[in-house]
Amino acid sequence: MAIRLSIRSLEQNGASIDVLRAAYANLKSVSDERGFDWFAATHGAPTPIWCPHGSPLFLPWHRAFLYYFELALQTRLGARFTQVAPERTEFADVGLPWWDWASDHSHTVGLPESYAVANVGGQPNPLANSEIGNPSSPLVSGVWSDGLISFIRTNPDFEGVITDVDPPTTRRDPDDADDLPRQSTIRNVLMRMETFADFTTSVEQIHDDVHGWVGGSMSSVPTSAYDPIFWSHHCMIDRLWHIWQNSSNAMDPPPDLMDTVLAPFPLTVAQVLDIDRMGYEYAVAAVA
Amino acid sequence: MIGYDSTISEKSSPAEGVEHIAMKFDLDIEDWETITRADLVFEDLSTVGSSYGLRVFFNNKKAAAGTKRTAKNGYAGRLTIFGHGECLGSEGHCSSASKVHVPQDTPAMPVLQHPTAPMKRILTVTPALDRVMRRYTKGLHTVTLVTVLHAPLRKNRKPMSGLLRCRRVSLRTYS
Repeated sequence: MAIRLSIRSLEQNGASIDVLRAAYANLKSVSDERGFDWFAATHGAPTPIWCPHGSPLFLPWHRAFLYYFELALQTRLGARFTQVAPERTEFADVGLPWWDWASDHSHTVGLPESYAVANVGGQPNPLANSEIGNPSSPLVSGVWSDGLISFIRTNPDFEGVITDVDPPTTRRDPDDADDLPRQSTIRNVLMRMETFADFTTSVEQIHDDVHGWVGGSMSSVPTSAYDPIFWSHHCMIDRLWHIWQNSSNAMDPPPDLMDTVLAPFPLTVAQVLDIDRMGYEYAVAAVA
Repeated sequence: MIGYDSTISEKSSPAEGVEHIAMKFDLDIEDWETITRADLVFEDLSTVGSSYGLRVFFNNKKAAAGTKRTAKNGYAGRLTIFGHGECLGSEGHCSSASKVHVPQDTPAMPVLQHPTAPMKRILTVTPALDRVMRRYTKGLHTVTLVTVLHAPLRKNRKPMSGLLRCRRVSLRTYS
């Protein structure tokens, strides 16, 4: 059972954030379908773009997406989306942390310090950015061809999405910290939305606001999942859905969607409604 | 429960990134006080193209990109539209009419909606509309939409027309 804690909670326990960093670094070194590049590419470019936005599948699809990403972080992901014994026991219990961008702390500092700092202990911080088209990754370098990178660099729509170095990396250009979504907005969505359609539309809107707030790679669908903060942003969105699911307003997605497969993942909408059955939970803090 | 549904009657674009929508909405204060929620609803909104920010002002025809987001200026709220950018795939890839490709070894056939299918967006404007109903004797008459290109780098952000493409904008209230 993975316990997903807030980034702030991990930051207050240095050992936990170190393990998360090491797990990300390990994931980025995997060059097959169980690696960071594969997950980032599945969300956006290179094609096809799988993630449904503006659809009732937005929340279920991203829950499945995070579920398998977390298994990969834990080194529990086997071939064809199977779950296997962890290859690296030190990562077996890593939970994706959620970024509480509505907290007072976030409205003061903006991006979490642990994701913003460029280097840690003299080494590049794997939570700060990611390479796109890393030559050491045959999976990614093949599709993030020079032509595609050149297209992105020369297209005005994408100016600033990736850096000018080779291989390019993700970048950010965040707004003022106090422009992040407010707790009152979250409260309104959690307490006022009485249908799944209204809830998913409203929470996706907040999700869009944060993508735009971070800027750079996060401001564009094709590149956003290459930024490590993407995963903690979506973890917060998943947590809000979980909280709403446990509220008196909660409703399931429409019945005709329940058997929809959340491709490319072998899970249906019905199979992602209960996070307890999926093997993870949310907590503000935890002690052993 | 939907109490009222007021839609666009006419619109004009006086400056780059600024669009006025004539939207008549008025109630006696006694009736207004039965309203618990008011939403501005954008239907069939396209996400193809650049990301952009949308700021909404009530009864303020002078509102523009530089207008402060204050109650005094009629500020009602904002949205960010997370754009898919220019198509990176082959011809037809980003057409919402095209089918999502499914690998043959996927265990079951998905029915995923195309990622660029038009969507609905809701902006809850209850406090802003409440101020309008108490401040103006004839209620709401103009909704001003200011669209700002949300370029990846802040230095490139600027007001721009033509970013917002949707079939319908309506005001819905609930009691």
